[in-house]
Amino acid sequence: MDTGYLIKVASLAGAGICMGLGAIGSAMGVGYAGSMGVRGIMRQPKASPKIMQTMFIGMAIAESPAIFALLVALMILFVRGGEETLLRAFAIVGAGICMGLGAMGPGIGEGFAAGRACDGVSRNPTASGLITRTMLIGQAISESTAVYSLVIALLMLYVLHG
Amino acid sequence: MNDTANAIRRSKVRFILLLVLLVVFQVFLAGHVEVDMSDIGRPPDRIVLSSRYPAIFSMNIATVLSSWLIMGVLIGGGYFIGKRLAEPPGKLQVIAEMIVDGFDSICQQTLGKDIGRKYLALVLAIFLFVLLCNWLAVIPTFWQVVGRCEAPAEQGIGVMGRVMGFMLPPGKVEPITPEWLSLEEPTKDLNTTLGLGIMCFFIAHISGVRYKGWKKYIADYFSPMWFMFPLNVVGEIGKTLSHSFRLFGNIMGGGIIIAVVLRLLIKFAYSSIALLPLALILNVFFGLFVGLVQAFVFAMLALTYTAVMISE
Repeated sequence: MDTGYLIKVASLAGAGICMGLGAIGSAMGVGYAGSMGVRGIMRQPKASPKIMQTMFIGMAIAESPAIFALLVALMILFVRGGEETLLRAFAIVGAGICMGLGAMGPGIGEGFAAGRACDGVSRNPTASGLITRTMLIGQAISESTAVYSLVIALLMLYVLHG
Repeated sequence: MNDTANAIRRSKVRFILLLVLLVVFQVFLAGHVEVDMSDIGRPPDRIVLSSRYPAIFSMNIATVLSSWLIMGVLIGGGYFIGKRLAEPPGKLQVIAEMIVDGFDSICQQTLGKDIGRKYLALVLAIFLFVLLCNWLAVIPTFWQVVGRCEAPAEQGIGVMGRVMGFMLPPGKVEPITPEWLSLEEPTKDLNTTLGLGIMCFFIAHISGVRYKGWKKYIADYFSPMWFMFPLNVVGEIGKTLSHSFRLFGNIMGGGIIIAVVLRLLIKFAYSSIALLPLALILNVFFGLFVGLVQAFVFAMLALTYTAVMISE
């Protein structure tokens, strides 16, 4: 089979692995954050605006590893160009595996931080500013591994053609 | 009582009439439409200013023009709302005061009462700029409705363009305006988001040096253990990268999702009446909601990184 066809096969496989695996972590993390938000509102209905605000911010950040995976999957599917060699086909699949697996961990971790932050705000609404700030710092640092995966995936797609 | 009941009945009749007209319109247009998906996710047009260093001295026209437009809207809007401050306040002033008050309380909670006021303008500027950038593609514009009906779910589209563009007869139509004049979100371009992220990086670190002093700033890289130095440095770079890429990925991903879903449905659904609510829902969620949340998260993270560097 010619390498053009192989590149198409590789890009389909890579995009599927990337988005399929990358959606797992963020989904679990965001669900945990939502459940802790609901529990927090159950405990303290009067603090519900603050809890909702913390929950939304935390969920938006916990969703971003899945967005990275979506980005890499879309780039694999829709960006043309580059030489059509066998090496490029493997680079495409490798980029998909890299981002797909790499987005699982930070999604769960950031969702855990968001959930505990909602819990904390429900227990102590006056400290909500400090709690939200700590949650943001924790989530930003735990996203580093997702950024490493994204950088390596983009490198494999665009720079290391072979 | 009778008047209200009559009014409601009249509006229901009008609504049903409108739906019937829409369906009749659709019947004449229904048919197999060729859609072309190869231009989704294309890089924006660039002008190359110097042929020796094309990567450094080139410019994406649509991004720069849209950014200037938003800056003009923000500066003009701020000036005109400020000139007509009145007691009791008008509608625009109420919205503006709500936004400013909200960010004022957030800044003061995060940075402390006196420093918070100093950074309020910066955080507000970042939030409003990113918000309007994210919302730009949801605003309908004239040429996107009538000028581009051969590729209806094209980039740089408003709700009307994305929704009604495919209701016009299929076939090649010459676009009225050049492509770089179409309004795309500037934050769809990695240059914008990376530029904003690097700007926030410099703001945070220069503030850290200013409020902590050089010695404590450098000593903090070696805390809590001296061998944490490379991890702290990489952590700072990673924070900036994820700050920018989160915004870029969300906005570009949203645009691509809308384009792909609409074009796939146009290809397979012969009549496009069912696409109207779907197009509206997609635009509202991915355009308005995600744009608002991501702008807020971007501004909050900029504020938090600054607070961390100042206070540690």
